[in-house]
Amino acid sequence: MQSILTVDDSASMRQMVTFTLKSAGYHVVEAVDGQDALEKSNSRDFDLVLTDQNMPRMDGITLTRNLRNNPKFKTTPILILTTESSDQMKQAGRTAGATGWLVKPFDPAKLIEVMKKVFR
Amino acid sequence: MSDTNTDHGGAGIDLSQFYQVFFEEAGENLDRMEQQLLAVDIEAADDEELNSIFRCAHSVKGGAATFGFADVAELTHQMETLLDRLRRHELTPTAPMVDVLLQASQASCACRQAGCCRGGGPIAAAAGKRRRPSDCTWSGAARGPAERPERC
Repeated sequence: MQSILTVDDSASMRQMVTFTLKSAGYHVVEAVDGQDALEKSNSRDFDLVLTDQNMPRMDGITLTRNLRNNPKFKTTPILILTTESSDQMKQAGRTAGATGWLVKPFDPAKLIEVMKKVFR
Repeated sequence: MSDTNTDHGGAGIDLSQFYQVFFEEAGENLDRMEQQLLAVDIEAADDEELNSIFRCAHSVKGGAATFGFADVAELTHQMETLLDRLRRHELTPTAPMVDVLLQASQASCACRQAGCCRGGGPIAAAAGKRRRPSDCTWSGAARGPAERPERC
């Protein structure tokens, strides 16, 4: 069973993402912000990281950069799920090493479809 | 009471099961935003303060849009747009800006307390009568000596 780390400072968003992914058969671990995600990633392996961008303590792009500096996560898919959609922000995500950029609001079915594509 | 039809996201997921958590979270964010707006020092607004206020609006907007509360999403999007310009120092904070942000925050609270409005209803109409960030034209450079008058 693939393991996904979902990162968002919004409890309602975390719950919705977790419920959606679990319903599709994934194992999900939640983190409340980038710092929390980084700490969890030090002691666990994940097959994919799904992170919000705007969060306190550490944002999604910074988290991505830090994860890519860890050999364990060098090739792990990292998707940024956010309401931000500017080209500048997306480019910053790419530069940091993000695999993909998903724009909120999202359709749960679409999220599952993306997961299936990534894990194919 | 606003429309409370159950909204099913794709994959047959009942999004209404997340509404209560969203309402509580939005309430906390809006309260925090209001307190921070009331406390902001217009002459010397702290970057982290502005970032924190921005994140509150951003968080409410994201949740409102995801769960289908279009009026709250639109209002908080307008707040976020103005706050983003402030935190990037494209605009200098002024009392009218803080005032309109407070009004928008209070209108968003009213929507939330009514169970939120999905694009219509008395709360949406009341919110629509209040001055919104997009009703105003903000001029003024980044922090600097001269600032042109604002029209609102």
